[in-house]
Amino acid sequence: MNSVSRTILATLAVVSIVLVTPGALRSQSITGGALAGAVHDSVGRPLTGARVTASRDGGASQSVFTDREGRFEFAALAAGEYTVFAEHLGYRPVRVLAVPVRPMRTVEVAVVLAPAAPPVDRVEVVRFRSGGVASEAGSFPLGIDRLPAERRELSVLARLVTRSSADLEVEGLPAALSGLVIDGVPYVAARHPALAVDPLRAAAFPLSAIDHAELVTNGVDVEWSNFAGGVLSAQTRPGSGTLGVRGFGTWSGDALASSGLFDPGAVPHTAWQGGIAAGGPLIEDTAYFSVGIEAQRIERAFPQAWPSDSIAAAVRAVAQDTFGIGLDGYAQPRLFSADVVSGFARVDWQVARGHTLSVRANVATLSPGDLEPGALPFPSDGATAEGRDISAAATLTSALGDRFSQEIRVGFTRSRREYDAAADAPPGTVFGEGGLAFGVDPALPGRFQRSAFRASQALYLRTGAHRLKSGIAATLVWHDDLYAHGRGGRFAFSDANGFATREGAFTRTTGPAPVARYMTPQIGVFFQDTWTAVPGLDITAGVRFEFEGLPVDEVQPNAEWLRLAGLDNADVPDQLRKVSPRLGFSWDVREDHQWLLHGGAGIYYDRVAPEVLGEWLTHDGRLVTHRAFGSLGSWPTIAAPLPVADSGAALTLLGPDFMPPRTARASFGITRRLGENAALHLSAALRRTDFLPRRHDLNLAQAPAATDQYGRPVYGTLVKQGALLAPEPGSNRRFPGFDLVSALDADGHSDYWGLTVAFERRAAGPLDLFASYTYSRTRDDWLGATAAPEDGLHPFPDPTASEDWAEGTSDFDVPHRFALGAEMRFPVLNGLRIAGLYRYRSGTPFTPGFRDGVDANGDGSTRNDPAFVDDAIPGTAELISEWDCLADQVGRFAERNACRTDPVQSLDLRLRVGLVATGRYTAELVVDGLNLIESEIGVPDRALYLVDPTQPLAVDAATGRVTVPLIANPHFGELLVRRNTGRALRLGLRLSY
Amino acid sequence: MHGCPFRIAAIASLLAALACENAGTDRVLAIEATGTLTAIAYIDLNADENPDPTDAPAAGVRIGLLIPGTRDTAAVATTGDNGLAFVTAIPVGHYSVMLDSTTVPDSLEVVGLDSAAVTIAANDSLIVVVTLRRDGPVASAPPTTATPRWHAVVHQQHPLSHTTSTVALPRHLRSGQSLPLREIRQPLPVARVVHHRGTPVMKPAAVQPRSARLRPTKV
Repeated sequence: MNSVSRTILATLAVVSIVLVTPGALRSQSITGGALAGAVHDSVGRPLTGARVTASRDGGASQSVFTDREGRFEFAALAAGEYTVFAEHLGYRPVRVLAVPVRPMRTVEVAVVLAPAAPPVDRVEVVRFRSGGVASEAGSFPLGIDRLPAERRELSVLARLVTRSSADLEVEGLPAALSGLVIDGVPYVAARHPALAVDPLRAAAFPLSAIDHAELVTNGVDVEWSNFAGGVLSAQTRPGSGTLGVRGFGTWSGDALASSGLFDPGAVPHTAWQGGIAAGGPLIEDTAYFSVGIEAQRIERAFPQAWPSDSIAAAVRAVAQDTFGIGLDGYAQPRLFSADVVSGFARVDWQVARGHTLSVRANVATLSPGDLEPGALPFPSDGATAEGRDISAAATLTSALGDRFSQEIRVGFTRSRREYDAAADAPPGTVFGEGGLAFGVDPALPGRFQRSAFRASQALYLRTGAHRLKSGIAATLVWHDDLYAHGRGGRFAFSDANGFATREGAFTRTTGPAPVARYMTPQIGVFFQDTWTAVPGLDITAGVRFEFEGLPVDEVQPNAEWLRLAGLDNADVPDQLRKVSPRLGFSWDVREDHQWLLHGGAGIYYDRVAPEVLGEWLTHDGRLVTHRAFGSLGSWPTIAAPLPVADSGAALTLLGPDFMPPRTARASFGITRRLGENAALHLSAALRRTDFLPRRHDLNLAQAPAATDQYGRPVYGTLVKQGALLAPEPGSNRRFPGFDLVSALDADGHSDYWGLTVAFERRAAGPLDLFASYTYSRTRDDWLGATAAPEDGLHPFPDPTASEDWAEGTSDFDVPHRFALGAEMRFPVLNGLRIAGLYRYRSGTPFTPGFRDGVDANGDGSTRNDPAFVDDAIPGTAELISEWDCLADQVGRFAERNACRTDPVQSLDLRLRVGLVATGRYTAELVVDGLNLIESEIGVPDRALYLVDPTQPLAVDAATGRVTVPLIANPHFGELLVRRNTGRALRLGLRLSY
Repeated sequence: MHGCPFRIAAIASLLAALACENAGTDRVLAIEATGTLTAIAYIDLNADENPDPTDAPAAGVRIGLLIPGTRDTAAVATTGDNGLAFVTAIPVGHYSVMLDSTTVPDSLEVVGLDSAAVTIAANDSLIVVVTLRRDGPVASAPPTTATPRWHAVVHQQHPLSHTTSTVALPRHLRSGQSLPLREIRQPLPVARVVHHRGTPVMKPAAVQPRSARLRPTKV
């Protein structure tokens, strides 16, 4: 080592670069961060008047001078990698590379300038050493694209966080209450309300377009709005100062698939992905671009929908012999397919000194493909989904002086989804025996379109120890939906014999096209103060006021219902007011970054769900629900009149003082740094969400007609057909001429608490590692949050009951979640990298009940009744011994979600090895092993009992009590429909220039 | 200053505790509207099957409204000396109209009950007319404490075809009159009272025929 090298090293030792201060509260923008620090000389004296310049990738730059204490700060910088250049007369300048500015955070850079006599002809160049660890478990420790995933869009990052499911079900709330925020602009894809999750909700945002992302669950900043759940916030990838091109391609297929649970090779499938992206300068040091396109064909095999047993064979035989319809597809592995093409572009332009404009656009098209089995309750063979998403946004960030800055954002999004059934598909048909289902899901067809325009302005003022922010945000959302549940009709048969003789149950909704076209405006104002009480301690307090409009003028009043019930379906306030206070703190104890505390509490409002408004506007009495039971005479079409049938108008009203979901959340976290490159996080969260929409049937008979043998209230006149049970059509209604009259009341609530322990080690030698475990519990009274309308009805609708059966374990309760990710690097082996991700979660809760087709309480829903655990029924004792969850339920109605499916675990591995590394050209071989540890996933058979098809209903003439003949279901808890995928190998190539 | 975060934590906890109140419990839509039932029981002395001044009121006749398919009586009206009975605050809904046969003297026969199934609408008044006629030997009236024996009536309905008119109520009921109960032979139109400029008037009712509801409950 020569003297020059020693001098450089010595200088580097002196030029210390400190670390990222995880001050989540110190910065003011949700899209940009701050860069602050101090300049000292080599003996530790602050240098006043030093010029400090921050530039991104050598481009757009801002300069400030240090104050008397040598401090400097850039309060509003767009997120990205920056270069900091510090200079002072008589000192050697220092250039610090790769300083990461992250949203809502302040990165602290300390620079030491060594004296140098003029002329200074050399600049010390050092690389920023963050020793960086994430401040919260919501960050994705191993970055965006270092761990294998089957898909490549933004939402797959949620699988890395244990406070959320892989489908963005955050902290015990459904995915519909969480959303995406891209560059500070909320993005909501159109979605089918019956879809629990939409795996392609972020199709317009492939991973190659993303620079940084974070799951925000308790964002104290008042700019967080619109989502009662979490926010997956991402910043798109900016251009760089150097032209670069990178591309990739992957391939997998049935030849590389295997499974211990089914034969994925039985259905030919091929999946491939490809993409190319480029970035570079448009105008040297002024404007940069980033552009790319990706295409992928997703084909995935699933296990066969039906088991290979005599029951399924009998149904298939009847379908073929009697109706000429082949159902062999349900006895073979199924295929999910989709073609997705997405493109993105971004331009960053320093339009003037202190003014930076960022413009981006993202588009995606989803070509018709087989709808993913399991997305809807029916294994809809041949159902298709088509979509198109557009998202564009522009952000102007302006430094208006030393103290003032502002950020103006405008955004436009348009998302469309169209779901349809195969042209020749039979209507949805279920069987009590075997729990089989085939045909078109009653939730099909449907068309959903959202167009949104958003604009916001935020002003930032730094004064003393305070950072003030105020602003305004406006949103206009246009909806164009065409949907009503049950338009395709739904049949239920007891068994194959009932199918052959057409004796069963039938439901169908008819009427004019259920079109809901409306616009909802929202405007909000906000104010916030971040106060640095003492060095290291920041306190933020703020409040956001919002007004949301409802399309009251679009609803068609139903005069008949008003006359009968005195309730006006159009009597809804046209404006909702929301107040969201926030309070939080971040404390760097002793300012040595060893102990970091953060916490916060706040109110977070969602918007009124489109499916709620859509149903309200379309179910105004013009749609008619037809129900029939007994001898149907024909299938798949029904010939009217039916012997036992009823028709009634379908109507939906909003409850009084209807409000969108509101979350009150408090969280607290501690981060303990363990050396330079590791940290341990401990955090706790407490959440209460109320105003969840629950469905009540206003047209249910005024009182139960009877009780069953267990005291269950029964509405209407129960009739039985084999293993089916239903009220005689119309007998359970309060007003004839109306069917289900839904009141969507904002009276539901959900409670969550969770503890998360996370460890991470990054940028340290050959191993990056993170591990995270969350224990949580979620309880709510929200029935049928993502199901068909009637599934959300309370099975014990007596409002005077002292105990609410619905209050119990949430459908989204997943107590245990664990994730372990790691990447090992072997530089000597051609840059070999081995990465892996292991995940574990508890099973899905379910309520012991009955098979589809059994309406035990006669309320019109065949999917909402719990079973009474009666150990006197033969076979029950065996089930109790097999299922611990039943043991403490004996002698009463099963608690809501008392049982749970088996835990689910998965393992994905990735191997990357360099093939070529010549100059600026690199090529890598990537081999992914997906789902190497298989778990069975699917819909459990929740039927604890089956209705005995051989025995009649028994009615006690004196008491009116009805005895339903029941037999234990030996298949209780087994999966009716399997949705697990098999193991797959995927080969890929990555090129970059 | 070190206590500050703890104070903040306390405030945050307080906010969280306040948030634990279920704010939506009172945001439930319910049908609270009620209607009124007027029962008219008269002895059709002139056999024209229309209540008019020449007819006589029938006292003590009990009319009940039953929730279809149930044994739950939602409302009961017993006619007074003027042959009228009123029940207010009846929850709106569809009901089966049942005549307590024990309250009809054996000396009278039930000629008509104008509606076996009615729909009480919000803020509406409904009139149920029971037409009785002398027949057979005179019998004494049953004790009022007798257990009602609801008699299901099955018939067709005919809306009023004549123009709006007020009801001329019978004034007297001859003491000791009673007739044996027989099957209903002829229904009378159902009428409802509506308020026209503050004056109660009778109008044809739009009660829908629902003979299927009158079948005996299977449960």
